[in-house]
Amino acid sequence: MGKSYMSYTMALILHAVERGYSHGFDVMTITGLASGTVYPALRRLEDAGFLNSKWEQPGIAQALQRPARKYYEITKPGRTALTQARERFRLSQLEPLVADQPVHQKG
Amino acid sequence: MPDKPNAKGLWLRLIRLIGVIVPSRLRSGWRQEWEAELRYREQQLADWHKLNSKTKLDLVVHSLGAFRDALWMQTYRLEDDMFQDMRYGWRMLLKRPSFTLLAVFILALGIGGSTSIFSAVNPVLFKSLPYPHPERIVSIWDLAPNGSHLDGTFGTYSELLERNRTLESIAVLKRWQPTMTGNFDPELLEGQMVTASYFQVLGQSPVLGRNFDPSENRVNAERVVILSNKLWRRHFNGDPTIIGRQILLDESNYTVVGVMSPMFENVISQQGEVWAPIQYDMSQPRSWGHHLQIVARLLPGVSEKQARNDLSLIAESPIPEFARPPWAALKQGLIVNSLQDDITSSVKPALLAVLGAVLLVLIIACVNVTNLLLARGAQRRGEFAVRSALGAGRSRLIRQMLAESSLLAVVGGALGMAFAELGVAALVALSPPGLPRLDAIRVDGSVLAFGLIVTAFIGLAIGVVPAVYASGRDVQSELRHSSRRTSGGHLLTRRTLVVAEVALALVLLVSAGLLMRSLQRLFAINPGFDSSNMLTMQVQTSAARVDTDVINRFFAEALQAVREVPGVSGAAFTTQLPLSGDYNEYGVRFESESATDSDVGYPAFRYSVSPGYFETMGIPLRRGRLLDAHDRGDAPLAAVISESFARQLDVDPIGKRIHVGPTDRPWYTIVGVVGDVKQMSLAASQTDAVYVTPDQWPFADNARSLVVRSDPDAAALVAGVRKAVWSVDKDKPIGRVAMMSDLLSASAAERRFAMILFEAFGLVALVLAAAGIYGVLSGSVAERTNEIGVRLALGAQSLDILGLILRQGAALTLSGVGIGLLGSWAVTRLLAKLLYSISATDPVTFVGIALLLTLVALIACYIPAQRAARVDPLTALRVD
Repeated sequence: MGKSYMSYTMALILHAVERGYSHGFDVMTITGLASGTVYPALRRLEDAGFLNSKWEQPGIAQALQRPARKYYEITKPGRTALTQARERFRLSQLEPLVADQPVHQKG
Repeated sequence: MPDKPNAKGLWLRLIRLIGVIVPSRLRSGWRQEWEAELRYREQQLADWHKLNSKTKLDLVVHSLGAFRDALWMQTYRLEDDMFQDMRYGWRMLLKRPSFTLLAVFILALGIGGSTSIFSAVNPVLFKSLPYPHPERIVSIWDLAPNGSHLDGTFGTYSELLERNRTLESIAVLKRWQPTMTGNFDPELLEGQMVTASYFQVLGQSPVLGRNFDPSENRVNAERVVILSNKLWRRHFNGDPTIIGRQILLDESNYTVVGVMSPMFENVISQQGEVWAPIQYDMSQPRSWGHHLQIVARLLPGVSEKQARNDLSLIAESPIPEFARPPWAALKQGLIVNSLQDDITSSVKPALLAVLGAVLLVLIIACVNVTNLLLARGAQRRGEFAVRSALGAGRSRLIRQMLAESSLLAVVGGALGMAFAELGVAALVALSPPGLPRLDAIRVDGSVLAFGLIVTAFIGLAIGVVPAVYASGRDVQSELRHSSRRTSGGHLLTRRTLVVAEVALALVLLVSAGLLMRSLQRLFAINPGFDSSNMLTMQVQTSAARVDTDVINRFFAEALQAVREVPGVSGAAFTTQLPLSGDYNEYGVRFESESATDSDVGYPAFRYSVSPGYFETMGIPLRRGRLLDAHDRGDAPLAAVISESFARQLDVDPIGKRIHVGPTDRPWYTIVGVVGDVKQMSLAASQTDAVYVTPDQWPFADNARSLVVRSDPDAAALVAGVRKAVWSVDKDKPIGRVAMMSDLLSASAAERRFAMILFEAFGLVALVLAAAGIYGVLSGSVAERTNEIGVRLALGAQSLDILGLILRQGAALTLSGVGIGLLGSWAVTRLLAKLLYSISATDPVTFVGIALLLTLVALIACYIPAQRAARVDPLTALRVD
């Protein structure tokens, strides 16, 4: 994938990660995209250097009796690319769609 | 307390399963990420007390999305072992370009050959007809007393139409060759007269305009026509306003009511471009003539067998409303065949044989390349030993070899596809005229898929044996020894492969030999006339004119004009030209027989020939006299019969009286007996014939063939003869111009087609087998240099060494020939249908081909043997 071009979907996902939806399922929930779309996109964004991925602390996972989750963070080039993409796609108009509160803090 | 989530949910099991296709080094991370997310989500739902069937289904849907993710992960394979192997393999192949080129070329020959043959065989043998529910389309034939298929009659059609209970629709059709005239050169079109139901039977309708209406089948209804897309584009520039316009066919106006889709394939008559409603009713005498093809579509759910039973029942139980004449009484019943079988059965044996042959070539090519790889594996033993000493496991080495063989196969496959494109063009050019569905022969999706599957299979097949050998050795001893030592098992395998190659090549060559000898015998058959220096062409008068005298006068005048063309030494017209595909049979009854036991009469070809026909054709007179200018319409009716037909009578036929066709006409008196002529094909045995003059035949045949003999080159006369015909009437189309000698060879076209391909494949097999033997012996000589050196040092003569190697080669060849002879004996009987007057186990062919193959193989042995004999013992011993 060329770094210069980002599709709308990718921009939306990057946007979501930047807003703090850092796990794959959170991104899916907030964007409404299918899992088969979100994950490959996350991997491509990571390959392009726009995202970093990390595993959560093993202690948290152990306490909850499940494997550690992977979470994604936006990188500096990612922010630059996102700014450009926002202008191109007028992503700010979609702001209401992506709430400012990370989803897992709800409920 | 929230429900404890089910740790073994379907979604988690799906993730484990899907994970299998994720590249192994990323697999555990991938699984963990998905599992963690799904279990987190599951836990969350459980906490919210929302873990119900709907949300569980949601989780399953999400986990299915992982499949797409896993597919995407395949891109990471680029960095995997496999691609490392590929890159390494590629380097190794480039290092030895001559080896690589040779292997690729051999594989490309095999893959290209088999793919192009598959493209020809596929539409005929494997694909169904290009119509909806093609399995429900059948053709229906009258069964002749001698067991052969007979065209149907309009009467039979009308009866079946009313009485059947198993057919959705039924149609009749007959060939129609109208001449299109207008403000352009007259053009002879190929078409069909059909009942309105024809396109319904095929499940087709025009893309422009409408289908025929049943009312248009009535006698004297308005004349309408449907055009093929090709004709519409060629002649009317694809003008959509053509619908409703009138065109002039056979000097009558026809209104165009429809244009067929460009996708419509008229499999019953491939050249058909124009269709018009057949206008028959039962009041016409021709409605009981056997000259219509009947096709039908079965009702949904009705089997062919049920339809057959239904129609036989009708055939067996005539009812007064449908009175049948004796010659169409359906006494023998009806034949119901699937249309697919009907149009492909004649070429099936040839195509299957050719497919078998090309698969043999493919196998030989694979064996050959396997041998090349084995030989190279022997040279690379040191390299493998080093790699394995450095820690490469056995499976890694096998994968490496498989990667190389797959690369070879892929490159060979790509080149093979290019060969296939050429091959398809050559096949179409070579194809016998009877090959159905010619338009469907091309490199399409299924052909590409076939090529791909073959390529993938080959990649594995040629790699497995060398891979196992390359990896299965003792590292220590390999590293200690030079790479020149023999290794028994490996050589044994190579020898076995060569023996197999020789055996397979022999099978192919024997088959090719049998076909060649059949064809020779076929062409040695006397067709019954002199085919040299004879020009033939078909001249048509318009079908609309029914005035017998006008038509006969035109042909007589045209003949006179042709005879005056300089260079013409003889010319005549005949309604049936031998070996041209013309077919017109009548039931003939002798006066001496009682009417009851000869309902149908003896089937015999009916020729209406102008006086001078026998002389021009060179058909010899056996008894009595030939037809001449005195046999005019007002003279007593005279007929000449063929020798074989005369044998039906125990007494002298001259002066006996016969009826030809209907019994209510005057008798013909037999005035002469002439030699037998092959009408349908050289191989056909039916030669019973009756000749009359056109003036003494009740109908005027519209289409007649002109035969012209000349002293110099007859082909040069085409223009002059045409001009002469047109000097009488310039609107009469002339078609089917051919030299009689070409018709003669075309009559064996299917056998020739199979033979040319078998010869080509046989030649390739011969060369590959010889190359295989050469390769194995060269390898063996190279590996035994040391031993040969010792032998020479100990006093062996060059001649002894030569003999040693030749004996080795001869042993391989003879084992292969022995097995091949047995194989041929088992296989050639499959060719029986293509052979003519030769046994499938003809000893002359078997022995001759075995000798030929042995000779070629020994020549291939001689070169390495000579090289061995020239070994310098000092050099040889110094190597180690």
